[in-house]
Amino acid sequence: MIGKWFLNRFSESHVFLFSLAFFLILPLIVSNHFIITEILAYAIFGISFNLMLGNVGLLSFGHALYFGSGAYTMALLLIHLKVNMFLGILAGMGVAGVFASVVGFLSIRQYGVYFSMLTLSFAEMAYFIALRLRDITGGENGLSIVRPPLQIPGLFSVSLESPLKLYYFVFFFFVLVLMIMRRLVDSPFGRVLQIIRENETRARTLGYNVERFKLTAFIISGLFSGLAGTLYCLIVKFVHCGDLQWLKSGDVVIMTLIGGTGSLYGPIIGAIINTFLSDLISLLWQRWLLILGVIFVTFVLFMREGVWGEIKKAITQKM
Amino acid sequence: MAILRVENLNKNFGGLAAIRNVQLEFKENELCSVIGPNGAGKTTFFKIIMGLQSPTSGRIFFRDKEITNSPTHQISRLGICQTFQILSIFPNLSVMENIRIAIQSKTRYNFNFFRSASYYRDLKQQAQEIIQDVHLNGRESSLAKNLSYGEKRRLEVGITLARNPDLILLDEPTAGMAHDEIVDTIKLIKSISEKKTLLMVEHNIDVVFSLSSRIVVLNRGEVIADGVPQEIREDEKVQKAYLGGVE
Repeated sequence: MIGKWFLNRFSESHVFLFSLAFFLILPLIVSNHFIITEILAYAIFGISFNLMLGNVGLLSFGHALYFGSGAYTMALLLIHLKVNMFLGILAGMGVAGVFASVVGFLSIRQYGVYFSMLTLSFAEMAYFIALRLRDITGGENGLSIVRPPLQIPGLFSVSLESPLKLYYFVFFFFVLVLMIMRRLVDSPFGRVLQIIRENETRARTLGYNVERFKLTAFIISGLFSGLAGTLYCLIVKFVHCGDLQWLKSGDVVIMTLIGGTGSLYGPIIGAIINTFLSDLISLLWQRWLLILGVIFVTFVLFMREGVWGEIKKAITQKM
Repeated sequence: MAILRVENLNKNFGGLAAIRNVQLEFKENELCSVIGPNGAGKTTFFKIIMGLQSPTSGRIFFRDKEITNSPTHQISRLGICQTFQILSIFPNLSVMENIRIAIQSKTRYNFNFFRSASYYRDLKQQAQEIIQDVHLNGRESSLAKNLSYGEKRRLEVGITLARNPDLILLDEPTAGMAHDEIVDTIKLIKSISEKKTLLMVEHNIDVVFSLSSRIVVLNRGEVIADGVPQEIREDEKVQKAYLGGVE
């Protein structure tokens, strides 16, 4: 028993180190650095989103709101105030966090479909507002930005125009988020989220204020989705109101379900598969979303625990 | 002072009255059983005390503090906790984690984000004592879902004990148990009752009579008898409710 427990922990840290190593050398293998940088941003988005779906068991269908508001905050600050990149990132996270607090506060008492629909409608509200406020958001045409250099005034300044440098810049945040989330899931706070998912009534009778824990998790999830948004904005040098739309929310849901909700690594695999596939198939066929849809349905029907869940099953069966 | 006082409690589900004008007081350190035929309102009664359902009318006091309509987690924090008729453990957590998480809720660690949960030794030590109390030593690292039925029942009790409540509501603690498991459970409940106030819903009449210092009988939501076991045994209304009273 103790041996098995040890093995579980052992292998988790190994997976962690493996994924770091994998993304560290990925640019040497894949020549299209743009795509793999995008994957990292989506992986951050997926991991943050999965804190709600995988750990609390609530499906938010409006996470584009936090992703998009992060991206917009970054873009607007860069265009109008020409702020330092780090300030843009912090502000983006902050704005996303504020949105998450408000939406979370209003919807966290709901369950299942009602929670999904509420989060969706708040995000759609933001989308339509952004669509209307064309003067500020650029509407469907969006806003283009100039990617600022990575700098601390007086200390150093590095241009991020080289794809490789940009990749490692985003990689830094990816590692940071992965480490934070890993700690979080294993912390006393993370354990409470786990028991809320397993048996909410029991958690209440043990004195846990369930709503407070759910809301905190929701805000953290929103904050890091905002971070993903700011990074995404820096990668594509563009933001448009589609970043707030339900399609974006759907993307992260699909990614996470394909990869698997059971662990931190599922959404990462999902981000890889989704981004590569979209890129690959969209070159081959115009109606590529159809293929993606079929793949998604296949996963939901036959591989409920996602790619990561299947891998894990295969390994444990061998032991 | 009564540890729990219930005044004019009523609960209706649509047209059906599950609890009717229940008026009861429970003293500190008593072990009182609530019995009655199926559908008498026993489980509903527990749910209302625990704040899992709100009463249609009436008031509930815990040591003179009103708890009617308080949220469950606040009631729990005051010192009431229950075990469930349908097993209510955390299946994918180890036995140790099941107990530890129950202790953790009383601490200030809950919103600690960055330490590993297994870091806190003091919690682990307390959990170990509880595990000993419910005779689950040796099973600490087993996942709760892999325990035998009797072990799961004991874990259920252990989780509740870990909260260290003053008033424990036991909802059918021997449901589905084999005979020798019941004997162990009686011993366990007896040892708990030395330190705590217990309210117990139980169908096994032997268990009820061997443990209780007082018995309350509910029938169709009403209290039809209330007294020491000897009185209840001889009460005609009770006999009727159990033997011929259910139309």
